[in-house]
Amino acid sequence: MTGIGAAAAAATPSRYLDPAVLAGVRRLELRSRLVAEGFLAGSSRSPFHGSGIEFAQHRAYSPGDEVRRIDWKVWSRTDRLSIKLAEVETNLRCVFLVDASPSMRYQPLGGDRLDKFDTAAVLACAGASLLTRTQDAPGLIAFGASVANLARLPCRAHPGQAARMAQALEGLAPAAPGGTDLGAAAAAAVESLSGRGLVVVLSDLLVEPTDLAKAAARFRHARHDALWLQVLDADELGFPYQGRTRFVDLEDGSEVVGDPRGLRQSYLDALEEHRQAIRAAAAAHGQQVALVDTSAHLDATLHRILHARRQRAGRPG
Amino acid sequence: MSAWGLAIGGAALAAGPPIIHWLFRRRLRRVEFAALRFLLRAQRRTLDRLRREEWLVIALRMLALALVGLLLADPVSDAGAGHPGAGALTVAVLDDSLSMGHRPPGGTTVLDRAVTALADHLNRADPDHRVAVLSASRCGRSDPLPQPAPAGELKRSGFAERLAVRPASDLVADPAAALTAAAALANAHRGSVTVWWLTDLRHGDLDGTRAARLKSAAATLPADARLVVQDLGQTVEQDLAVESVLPPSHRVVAGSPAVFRARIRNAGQRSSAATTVSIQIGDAAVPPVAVPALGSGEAAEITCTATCPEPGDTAITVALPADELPGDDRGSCVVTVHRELVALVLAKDPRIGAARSLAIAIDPLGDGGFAQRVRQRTVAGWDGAGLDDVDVVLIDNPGAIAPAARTALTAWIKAGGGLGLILGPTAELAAWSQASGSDPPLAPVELLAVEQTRSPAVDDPTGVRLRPDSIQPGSFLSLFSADARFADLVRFRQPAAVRPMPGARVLGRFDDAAGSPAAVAWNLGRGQVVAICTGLDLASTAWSKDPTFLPVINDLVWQLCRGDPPRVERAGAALSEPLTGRLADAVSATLTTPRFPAEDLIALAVDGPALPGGRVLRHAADHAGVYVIHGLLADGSHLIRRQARVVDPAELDLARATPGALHAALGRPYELIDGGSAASGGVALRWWLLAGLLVVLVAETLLAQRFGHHEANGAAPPRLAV
Repeated sequence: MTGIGAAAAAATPSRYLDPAVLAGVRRLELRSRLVAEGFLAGSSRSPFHGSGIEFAQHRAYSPGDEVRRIDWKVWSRTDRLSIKLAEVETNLRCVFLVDASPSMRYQPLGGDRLDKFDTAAVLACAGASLLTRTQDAPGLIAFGASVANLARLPCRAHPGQAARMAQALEGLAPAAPGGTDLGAAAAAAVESLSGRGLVVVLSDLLVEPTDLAKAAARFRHARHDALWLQVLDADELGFPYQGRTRFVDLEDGSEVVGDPRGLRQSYLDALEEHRQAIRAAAAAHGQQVALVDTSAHLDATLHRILHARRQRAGRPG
Repeated sequence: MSAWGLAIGGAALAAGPPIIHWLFRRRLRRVEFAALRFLLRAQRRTLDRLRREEWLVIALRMLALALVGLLLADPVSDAGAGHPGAGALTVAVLDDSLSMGHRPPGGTTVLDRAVTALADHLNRADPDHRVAVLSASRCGRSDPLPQPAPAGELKRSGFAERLAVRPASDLVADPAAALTAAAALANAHRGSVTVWWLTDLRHGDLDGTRAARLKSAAATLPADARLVVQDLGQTVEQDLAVESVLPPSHRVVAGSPAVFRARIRNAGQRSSAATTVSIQIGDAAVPPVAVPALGSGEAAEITCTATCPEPGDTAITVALPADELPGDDRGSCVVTVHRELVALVLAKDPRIGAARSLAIAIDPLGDGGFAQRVRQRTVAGWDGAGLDDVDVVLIDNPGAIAPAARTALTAWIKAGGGLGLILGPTAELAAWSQASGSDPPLAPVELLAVEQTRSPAVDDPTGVRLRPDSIQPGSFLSLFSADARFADLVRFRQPAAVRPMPGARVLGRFDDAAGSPAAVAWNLGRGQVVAICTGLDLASTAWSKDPTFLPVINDLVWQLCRGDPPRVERAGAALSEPLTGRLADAVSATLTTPRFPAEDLIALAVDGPALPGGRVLRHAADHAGVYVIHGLLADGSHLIRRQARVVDPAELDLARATPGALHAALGRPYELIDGGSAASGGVALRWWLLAGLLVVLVAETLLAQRFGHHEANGAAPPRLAV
């Protein structure tokens, strides 16, 4: 039994979270559900729970108000019926910015795991699935060289929102070459969030650190929290190529010819320098960049990222 | 495929890495990659270093393949004679001397290796390449000089195969003569010339005058000629050599025991264990004789007492067990065994007095039964005739002598005869102790004028005795020194007062106050003259009635009768047998060499028996050992003469020559190739190439790993931490 059937019959989804198995599941919705189930199997609380409900004031009960909204604790102390009002009536709004640029379509050696875009999509849908369980409202913006003609779903606290996001991402045609316009994506995210919200950026972040810094500054200015997930393939992290190779850029078609064995160390050094630069750019605005390795178990990746986020926020889960 | 073909193939192989490198540049694997910006950055950082590393590794790989090509090319002959191309001349000076027969344990002889290198050169040479092979041991003769021939022609004629079966000679190398001959060929050639000396470079080859000759010979080579010295020699560890075989010092008479001696030397670098030598005298083998353990360079003399039953030429051969150098394990000499010893006694009246006593002492029964025969003649009127077959002449009371007789006697003594002068009371030495014309004095003493006061009585108790302590060891008077009682018993009355001639030896003295000489001897040519300073008749002494008389007189005869000159010459000397005696009637002669039956009998030309001084002659007797000449006489009977040839002692100096000695001896530019430290000439070079190849491969592996060209199997590449 393979594919959907195998996933559906699984008693413990985590056994299917091996990247090779996950790559064999064709439907993104199922992939994301597996990741979400796997994540929940190891955690009893939603990491997003309550972050968007803030108390504002009480008012006197008036006829017509729903009885369930009466604050019985106030009544017991004052013997008066009061209604509890929240500043934001809606749940947490979270926008998943998914990078759909050609660089995310790198095909890994061996083909035994998801590519970077699929990994980002799975994570976005899994996150959306987790949010909708707590009545929060996830949304989706796919971006590439621009945000036009790409998937865009406003934030909804509907239980089917994750499925809609999966559908939108599955049907997404590859973005045209031309790089990644992180600024436009950030602007679109800020525009879609009317109040304070959370922006989760899923991208390989192969952009200039200054661009990332500008986007992070925009999020902070709009009082949004932001989580940057840098999705990189294991080949990009390990550079395991051998023999003379012609490397062609997925974005602009430029080439590098060389012996990978001689280039490896310098490449890894340059990549690490870049990662340090973008981490520094994000940290300058109180934001965090976490690495997502496509060859790792995604539920474990989620655990690691969100655990680190809770620790950073000083709110143990 | 020829060596050069292989070498060119190897060079082509060496060009493989850059070609492969270029081809791989064209056929690259294509990978669509996202993080190209970091690759570009990495490439900018490492481009120069990568290029250097890449080309360094490629260069190492090329070098490795070039070394493989050289190994496949088998660089033995190329290292020696260079490229055997058309139009060039290679003069190979092949040292085929005795020492080239050195065979290390488990290996081939040095000569075999040299011949293999030479044959290899021929096989690889261009067919039009000209080659001449000179023998370093035979070049100094009048033999015609071998002319260069095309290598292709030599190959077709099986020249290399003929060389391969040629053993080392028993001759000494003469590299100077060989280089002179090579220079003659080189100067006659228009084109490049390589003189290729294949040798074992022994100390003896470059010693003393040989070095000077070699320098002169090397100077005659054309200035642009390439001189290559390929040293194939190795240290000889175990080698006992028969340095010489010595015949008895006295005449060998059939049926009488004779003492033969041989000198054995340890010419190897290691001490030798005790061993035995086998000795063959004529056709009979005598019991082996022990040779003690010898240190390197030490020598021992062995003796063997044997009886030669038959008169005539007899060969004595001494043979050692085989060792690393078999050529010097045998030594020979030829002695003439005489039928009997003949003494001529000359006296005024041979029938009485001292002459009779002498005759009875030498041949008691008068029938020659002890292989000693006496002829007696009166001295008066003797003209020197009849000396040809006489071994000893004893003259009682010598007086006047005819000039012809003196001249004949002088010549006979110089040729090896022995003369005994009994100086009785009537002796007159004026004609004997003075020179006559070109003849030297014959007597070793001069008579002094003294008053004749001889006692008439035989039993007169007065007189003198021999003084035992004055008697020279080994002289015919030794019996008296062996037991002093014999000297007490024998008295001499009024001995002859003499003065020894300058250079004469006093063999014994009387016990008078002056210690007068009792016997004086000296050598004349190869012969010897002994003067006994007393008469032997009863008026002078009662000794002739004493038991000591017979052995002492016989000892005198044997002392005077010296042995024949050793008939031994060095290998390579011409073999010449004079046609004298019955051989003068020979109508044909054949020669059996020491290599018979491996070598055919050789017919010798009989050079006119009727002519005076006729002889049979062979210009070169190159082998050490015994040569046998069979003369066929006119009456159908055979006559056999033997001659022996021994190895030149210089060839037994097996010490290795130093490069410095070679440099000093040649005195001109040359290339020295050491090809003697392994089983074949090229093996040492091959080992060096192999070692170089290994070093290059190790360096390539280390550098390639260091540069990231190689990954260990299964090892995960480094990656960034998440």
